[in-house]
Amino acid sequence: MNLPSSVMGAMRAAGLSPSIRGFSDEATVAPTTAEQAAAVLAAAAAEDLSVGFRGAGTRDEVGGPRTYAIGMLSSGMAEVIDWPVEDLTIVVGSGIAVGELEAMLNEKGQTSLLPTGEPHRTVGGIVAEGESGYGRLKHGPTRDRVLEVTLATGYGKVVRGGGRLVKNVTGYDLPRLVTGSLGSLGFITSVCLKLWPLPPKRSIISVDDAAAAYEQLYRPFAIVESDAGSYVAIEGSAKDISIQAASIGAQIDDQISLPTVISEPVLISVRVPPGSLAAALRLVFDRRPDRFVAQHGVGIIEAGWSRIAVDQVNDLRGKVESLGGAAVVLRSNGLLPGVDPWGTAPPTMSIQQRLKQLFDPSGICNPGKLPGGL
Amino acid sequence: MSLISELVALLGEERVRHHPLDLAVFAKDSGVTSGPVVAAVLPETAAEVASCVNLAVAHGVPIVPRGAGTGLAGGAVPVEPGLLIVLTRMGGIHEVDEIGRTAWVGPGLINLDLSTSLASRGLHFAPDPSSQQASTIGGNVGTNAGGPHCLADGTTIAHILAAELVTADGDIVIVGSGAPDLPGLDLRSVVVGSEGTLGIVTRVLVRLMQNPPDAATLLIGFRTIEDAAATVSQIIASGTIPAALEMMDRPMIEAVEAFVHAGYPTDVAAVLLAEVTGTGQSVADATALVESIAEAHNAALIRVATDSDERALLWKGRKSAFGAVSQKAPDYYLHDTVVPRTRLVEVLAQIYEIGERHGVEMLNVFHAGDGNLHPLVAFDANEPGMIERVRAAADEMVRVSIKAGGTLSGEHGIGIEKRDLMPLVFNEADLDAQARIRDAFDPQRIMNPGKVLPSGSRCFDASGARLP
Repeated sequence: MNLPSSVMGAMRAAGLSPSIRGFSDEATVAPTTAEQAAAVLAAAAAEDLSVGFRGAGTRDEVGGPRTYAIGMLSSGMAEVIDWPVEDLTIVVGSGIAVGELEAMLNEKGQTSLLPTGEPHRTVGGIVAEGESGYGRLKHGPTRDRVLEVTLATGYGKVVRGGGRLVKNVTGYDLPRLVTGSLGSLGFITSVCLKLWPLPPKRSIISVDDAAAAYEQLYRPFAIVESDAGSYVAIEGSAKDISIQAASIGAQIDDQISLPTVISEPVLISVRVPPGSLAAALRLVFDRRPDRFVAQHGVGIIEAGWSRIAVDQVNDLRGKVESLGGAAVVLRSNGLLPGVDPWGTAPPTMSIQQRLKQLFDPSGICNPGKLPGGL
Repeated sequence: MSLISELVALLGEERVRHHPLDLAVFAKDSGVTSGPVVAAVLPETAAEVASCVNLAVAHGVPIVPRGAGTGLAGGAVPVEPGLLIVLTRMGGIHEVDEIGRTAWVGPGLINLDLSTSLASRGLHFAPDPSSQQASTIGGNVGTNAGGPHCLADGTTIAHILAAELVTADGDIVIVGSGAPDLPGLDLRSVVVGSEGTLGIVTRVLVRLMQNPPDAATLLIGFRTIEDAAATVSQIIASGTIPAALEMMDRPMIEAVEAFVHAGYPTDVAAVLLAEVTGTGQSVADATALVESIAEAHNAALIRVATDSDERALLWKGRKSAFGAVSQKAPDYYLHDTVVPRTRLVEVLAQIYEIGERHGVEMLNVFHAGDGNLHPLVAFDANEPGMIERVRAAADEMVRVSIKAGGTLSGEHGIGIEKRDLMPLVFNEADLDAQARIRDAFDPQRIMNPGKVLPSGSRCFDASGARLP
């Protein structure tokens, strides 16, 4: 299929990129400004051509693998736009790699708290997926640190929501809505993030009973139970950390690190109310995962299998949903035919559909990624 | 049948208020605006709320939800003759999950009552607006309320996991969830802070925080505002985010001392109230750090309180600030702008200059740690021309805050008060996008119309794209 000349014109103006195999069947564009991105989306909308958004491409399977008429990359927008260091905020283009961002911030004693397990992932991709790093127990989710967002919408306009301020109730909270929206409302071109100062020290302690540590400790950074062992991450001065470790009868060993990214072909994220984590863990154990990482007090278990039967996944999902949670298939490499990535669609589908339609009237922005095929 | 007689048939006479005296009571909140009320109803269940919504929609009467009426921006004040749905009778604590540290509560529950009733379980609800003895959780959700302790813990949105919402269609739905990152768009994100324009919240799943094992409060006096502000910036840059960092200027200190004798020094330009919480050692570490930074910035006085009575005394001055102002003048107008923390000093200087030029008395008490300014003008509304001067000064203060990279509101909301100032912060396309959010929930615009967004915010319907 040849793209219409109106679309090709907008794409050339925005900077064509070589096509990426397996992502887009046609041309790929890497705009360098939000306006260019909006112009391509406006042209694509007029021709009903789907546009797939991509950062580093590590999460193309989330919401199910798709192909699109046009690929739009954030690689042309990887700059630091503004970093008023003392305000503990930073504005970056969506294409910046999280590892690069963290290294830069750490040098000034700051952190974005974004997940850095895959340092080449982009900030835009992490925000679009709404993923949080290990410090969520102490510092809350990524969503609470996206202060401002600039979005090229499905109707071809550049819109900005929120502000470059750590406290703000001026208008509807577009940044939080866009976080985790998987590109369904538009292409994120830049974000302002709230930063935190790095603590004097962060230590990881091996513990026997993660659930007991969760009850005993006051606001630890993370409490993780995994196939490799159970760990608590504590922040503070060296003295504070050693007192806290002693209070749960544990030793500090600076050689330990928190579990790394799960690389098994099937990756499922089980999300339950934190009070139901123990019950959900039993459900996951029953299905013998090759690897798992559970975050106490947060309610997320990520589990990987080299293979697992479709029936097992459906059964797990049913039981997790009855706990008030969800079992999301983040990756299946074709091993789970017919399994919906999300499970039961949320009860607010009619409002979600209207939002999608109002921000993406032609349905061209990452179509099909959200639950219910939105 | 008239709307009122249908409401009476639904709820009974006692829960439908429409006598002139009632209408006058419900015509305003704690701010300066008032509006026309058709009736005020007091439902007790979500189903009753939904029935009230359906009746109002059938009669074409707009709906305005209301909690305790402590709002300052006019969010609960009808713009056109409206039905007030008052949620104060839905104030229960329904379910507490101690392991998950969450609770389902009614929107009419008073903020402070939630933390008080959870104290024995070692948990609390973090948002602590100054109105917390009166304001409701539903109202806090509506405005995304803040308070001194939001510096470290975030405003109300960070503490609301889910909400039951009665929509403009009369449906009862849950937005958000007790589980993290549930699939789909996070509608909770926009419902919190929507000031009742997206629906009526009838039940809330709140996140509860552990009570800190230890705490210290520091009162620090400075000879210049610059030193106080520089201390704030350095404390935060040092790697410790205190639980609260509040500042008061000299006029406010004098008013407070005259009112409650909290023992604040009256010979300084500003006092900083810093609170650090955590484990015993972390509190000791943070206290030492704050003291050393304050000393390096020429602190004139440092008092540290570690037991709860002493800490309460240091907080007493801060918490009495608004009461103290009412001893000075019969009326006050309280602002709520935010600026980047590093611009505090320069914006404060401009605010003093504006007050002087308009001949109005200015006092400042604010959340310095997150740049949330609360310039307060004390005045007598009976003085001829005074209201006009107060409003003119207010308008200028908002503009200088925005010019310094700030915004209209940090915790009070937009309501009616700041609605028409929204174009100072957002352009046409930005406001249009926000109007789309509202239209997704309430296409008929029956839910608290005339709030948050200026009229005409939807400016280009589907431009450049075809509607399916």
